Amino acid sequence: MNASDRLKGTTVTAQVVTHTHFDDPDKALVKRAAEGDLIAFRQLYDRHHRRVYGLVMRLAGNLDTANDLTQEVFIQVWKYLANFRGDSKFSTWLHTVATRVAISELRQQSRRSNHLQFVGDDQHEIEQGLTHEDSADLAELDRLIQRLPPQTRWAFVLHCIEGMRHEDVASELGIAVGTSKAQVHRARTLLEEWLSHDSI
Amino acid sequence: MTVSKSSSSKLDELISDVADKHAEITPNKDLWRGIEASISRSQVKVPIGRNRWLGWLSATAATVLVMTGVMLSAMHQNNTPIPNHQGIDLLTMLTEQHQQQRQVLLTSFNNAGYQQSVNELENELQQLRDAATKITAQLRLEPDNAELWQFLQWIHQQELDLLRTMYQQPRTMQRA
Repeated sequence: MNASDRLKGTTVTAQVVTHTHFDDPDKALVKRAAEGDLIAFRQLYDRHHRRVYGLVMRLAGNLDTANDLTQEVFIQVWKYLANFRGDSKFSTWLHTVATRVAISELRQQSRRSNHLQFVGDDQHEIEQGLTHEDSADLAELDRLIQRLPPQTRWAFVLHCIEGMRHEDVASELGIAVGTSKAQVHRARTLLEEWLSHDSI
Repeated sequence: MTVSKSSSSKLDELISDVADKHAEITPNKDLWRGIEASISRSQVKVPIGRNRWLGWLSATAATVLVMTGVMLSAMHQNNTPIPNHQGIDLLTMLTEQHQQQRQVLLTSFNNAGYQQSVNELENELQQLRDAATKITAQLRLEPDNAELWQFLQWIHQQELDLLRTMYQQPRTMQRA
């Protein structure tokens, strides 16, 4: 829970950790991978792919899409690893890359499939979210997140689970800060309602 | 809509649980193979010092155009055209081969969803193409000029390198 949210006492948000001085445990592998060492890159993948997969799966709300996105993230990281200057931990940079690759691709998918979601269209959202048979393997919250409309889900995941500030969420999603807050509020309202129904 | 306080508390617990204990999820299949295949297929080279590279390409294209003009002007004054059908056939083949390479490159970028991102290099690209056109025309007149052959091949390679540079460096990679 970050400081401002703790004061308000209304929203649980994962803690954001900033690093001023740090020893990056990935530094040596990153250096080798940036020089074209695929074995070193494979080791970076082994260390981080589950974290990336967790992030993109929650953003996508779909396991198949999450598979594709995870692969795309690491392909892009391989291509542009030389651009990583080491100003932050590799894992932090990777998280940013993963978020942007995922949001960019999901936006394109949304435009292509014209899956526009409208406020109040909850039944459609629920039907869309429950179609994947593998969802039974997910944690309860992850199954519920799948039901959320895309932009609502993205704002909720980035703010409440990934611990990003609303300003950063708004920047990544290309929306106003107020819209980010409204989307998170809407997500919480829907999730609480669904939890309430499930507990009856 | 009435939502109980317990639902709100439960949601907070679930969020904490996911964020603290289940941030990582194991994919339901091996994803590395696809990544490795894609890397191998594209034979991606990691760009080093991209900004310097852009500047160098930009200067090179302008220099090439000037050099081409000077060289061809001198050749026009000093040489008499020598017909050589084998050389012209080779020139046709080289030009076609370059066009195919260029098309394969562009198609691979398009298929990968990349978009041209460095529009300011369009001018440099055009300069290289203009130079290649002029050299090709001169080679039709002087198919035995080895320097011109090397120069044309070098310009073709510069064009391919410039195209690779021009295609999108995604926004995702711009901030570390």
